Amino acid sequence: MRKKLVSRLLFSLVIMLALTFLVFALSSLIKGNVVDTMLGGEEAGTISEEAYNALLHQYGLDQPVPIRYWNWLVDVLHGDLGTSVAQNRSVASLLSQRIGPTLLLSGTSLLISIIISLPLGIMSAYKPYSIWDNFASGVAFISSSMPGFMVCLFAIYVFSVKLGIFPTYGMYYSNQPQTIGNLLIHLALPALVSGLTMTGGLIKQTRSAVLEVMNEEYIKTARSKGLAEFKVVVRHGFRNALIPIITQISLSLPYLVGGSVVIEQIFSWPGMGSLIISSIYARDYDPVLGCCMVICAVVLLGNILVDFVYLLVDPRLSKER
Amino acid sequence: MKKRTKLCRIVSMVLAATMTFMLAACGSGETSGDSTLSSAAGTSAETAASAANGKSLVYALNKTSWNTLVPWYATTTNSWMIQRCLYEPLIQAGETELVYCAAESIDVQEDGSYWEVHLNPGVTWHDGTPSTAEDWVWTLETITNPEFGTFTESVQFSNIQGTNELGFLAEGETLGVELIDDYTFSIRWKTPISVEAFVDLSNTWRAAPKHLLENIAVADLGTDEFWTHPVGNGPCIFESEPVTGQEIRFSANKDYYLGTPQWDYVTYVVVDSTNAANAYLNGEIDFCTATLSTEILEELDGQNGLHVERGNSRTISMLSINNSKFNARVRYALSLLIDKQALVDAIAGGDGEPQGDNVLIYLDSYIPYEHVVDVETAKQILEEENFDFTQSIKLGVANGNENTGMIIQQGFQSAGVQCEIISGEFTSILTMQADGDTDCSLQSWYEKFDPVSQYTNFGPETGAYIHTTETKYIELADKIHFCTDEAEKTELIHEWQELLRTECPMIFLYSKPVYFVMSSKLVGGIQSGVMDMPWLWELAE
Repeated sequence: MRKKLVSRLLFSLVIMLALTFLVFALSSLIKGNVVDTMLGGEEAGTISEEAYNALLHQYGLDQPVPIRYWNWLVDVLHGDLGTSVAQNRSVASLLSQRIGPTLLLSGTSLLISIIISLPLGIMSAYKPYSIWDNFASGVAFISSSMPGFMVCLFAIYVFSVKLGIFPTYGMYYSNQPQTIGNLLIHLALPALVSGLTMTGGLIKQTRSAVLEVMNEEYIKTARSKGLAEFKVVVRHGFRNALIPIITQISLSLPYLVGGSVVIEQIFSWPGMGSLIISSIYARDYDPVLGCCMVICAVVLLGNILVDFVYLLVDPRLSKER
Repeated sequence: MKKRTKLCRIVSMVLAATMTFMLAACGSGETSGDSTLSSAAGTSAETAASAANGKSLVYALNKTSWNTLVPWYATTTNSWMIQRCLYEPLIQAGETELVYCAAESIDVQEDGSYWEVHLNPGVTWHDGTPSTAEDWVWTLETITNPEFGTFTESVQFSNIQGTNELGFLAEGETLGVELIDDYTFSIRWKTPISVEAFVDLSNTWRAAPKHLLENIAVADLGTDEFWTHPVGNGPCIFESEPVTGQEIRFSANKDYYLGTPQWDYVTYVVVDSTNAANAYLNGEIDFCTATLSTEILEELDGQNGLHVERGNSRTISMLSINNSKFNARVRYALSLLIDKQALVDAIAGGDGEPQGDNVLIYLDSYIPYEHVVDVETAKQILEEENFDFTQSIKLGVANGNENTGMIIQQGFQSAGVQCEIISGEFTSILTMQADGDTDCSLQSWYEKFDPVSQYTNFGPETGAYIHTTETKYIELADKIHFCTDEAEKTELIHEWQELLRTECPMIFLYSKPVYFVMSSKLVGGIQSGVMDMPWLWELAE
């Protein structure tokens, strides 16, 4: 078991390394650099070429990509994630401010998605082609087909502008104390939208997994023993269908941690997504690489955690290993 | 069974710890002094409570947050707005004229190579200490010290005598800044500079309080804790930054030398432009810098006490064109092919003016521009200049401006000039233009009081987008800046307009007014020239 864990962790490190190199290489292909954006923009044209080249040299941007990557990697191995040129601050300090809001938003979204999807998926599998099934299919269809930003704007219009229930942006009300209640009311709408956009796949996966299990012999045995229907469905049916459902949830991890960029931007949620966006616009790639590393680490650790959960829900896997 | 229960327990504990960490981390952005969450939240709560009692405004910045509270590190418009709240600049651009701020007057001597800056004695730091010439001299000496460390905006100080190309003191040199008396200091420049030209090149020229910072090592100054609760000398006093880069609160500086702001508190927040209209309607913001479409402006006007105001200043759109590839006659011919009125109608909804140069249309020296589309003359000039009609002009257009690009493309095609539109993200388009990958690209900027504002864009060294080798544009701009005789200045401005209209180093397209939405708390009268100065706003009774 320990051997397996170590090999998974080593493999994860290789993936992380490959990913950072890919991001580094791709970002170097994009037109412009951080000095261009800091001193340029619409009203650019105010420094001489000599000063421009000197700045590039100061930030090491005049070096070839492999050397820059190597320097960055050596710094990372020494615990230095680099410096944001645009913000003149260490990437570590930026990430420490942004990771909390992102994890809170993504964690809540995942919870909402699970709370909505699992009962709907189970019900639609238990009573196929019923009104429940049609309703679940409708929710899944809307969730999968509506673009995230459309759902955001629609939700803001309905729940904030028309009904006045939730605020439209930010993490706290301006000019009000930062209480948990203040935070939760700001969290509700982005988390709901983010959670809803993930429910489609999960409903469908739950339905198909539970439907498959419900035709198994042991379900018939459980019923013939006279077990209550709820116990048959939840204890025997749903439990045995958990593996593909957990796989589906684990697949949504990258989206949750790194993919809620649009939602964070529209709701002005101060997480990693908005940091990635502003850093890309500024061609300030150290924070982007830092965010990628965090996202990669969370996803890889999440996958390892999912492996453990597999063992928890299916003891046969433990015996096989 | 026992093993599984244990595993369940571990998973539950991990989940609980994660949730606790997430909630705790959400408060880590608090920077109101003490770094502990509880005390910081307490300070924030007190500020918030007091803000709720007084007259407060919420000012929304579009999309991007400010990047720092260290004045010399500010690199974006939103950052400069925040810095302007905290610190007084020497001078700044007003609506139609230059405004003296921390500097009461500037004696420009030796043809612009030597300045004597006389400071306004009314300016004080927020702790009550007078802001003096000693602060300015100490600041300039400190941030040009190589030990201070690299920052992109250091180049703004590179014209001071004794500095290198990055704005740091060169080895063996003496800095050209000298203290004369408590409220006077001098600057010796490498290249003569006018006061008008200085405005555009001095966004990070701010003094810091020497008495609070002089004991900090120069190398640590930029990262010192001081900047988490800075003491400035501007109209706004820092209260707290509850969410770093997302929300910052100021109280009014009651001793501000230009008069006390009418509000007690102002909070700057970041709102995405797609969500600005909703935030207005929901009563969460009083003002937003986002440019809203005509349809949205019409929809907002009158709702929930919101009202739309037209600013005096305008935005001006132009085509940066590669001067080394297209000579003056060809550029003029191409400008004759563009239907600028069609652009005004299609893009500005008819509410704008075709433009031939960048001089403000309401300045006395402005010569009215008569726009004509003349395909025949253009064709004739192009043929005389042996223009290669088989080539395709690459036109760079930032996302969202494709309509403008298409109207220009149609104009070019009317004379048989082929044109290919390359659209992309704004920075990429600008970089492509600078690298010569596109032949021309669309840009826009705010018109300023200075008839030759953005003049460095026309220079051979600094005009990155027009690739010119001509020095006459920048020389004429300098002449205008240094001219003290009004009649002569007007003549020179006319010459500038003529030059831009006939040689088209940039092809100016059109200008349009800027509209703002304000909540019921604000009375009209906001001008875009003072958009970043809410301390001058009038509040409703």
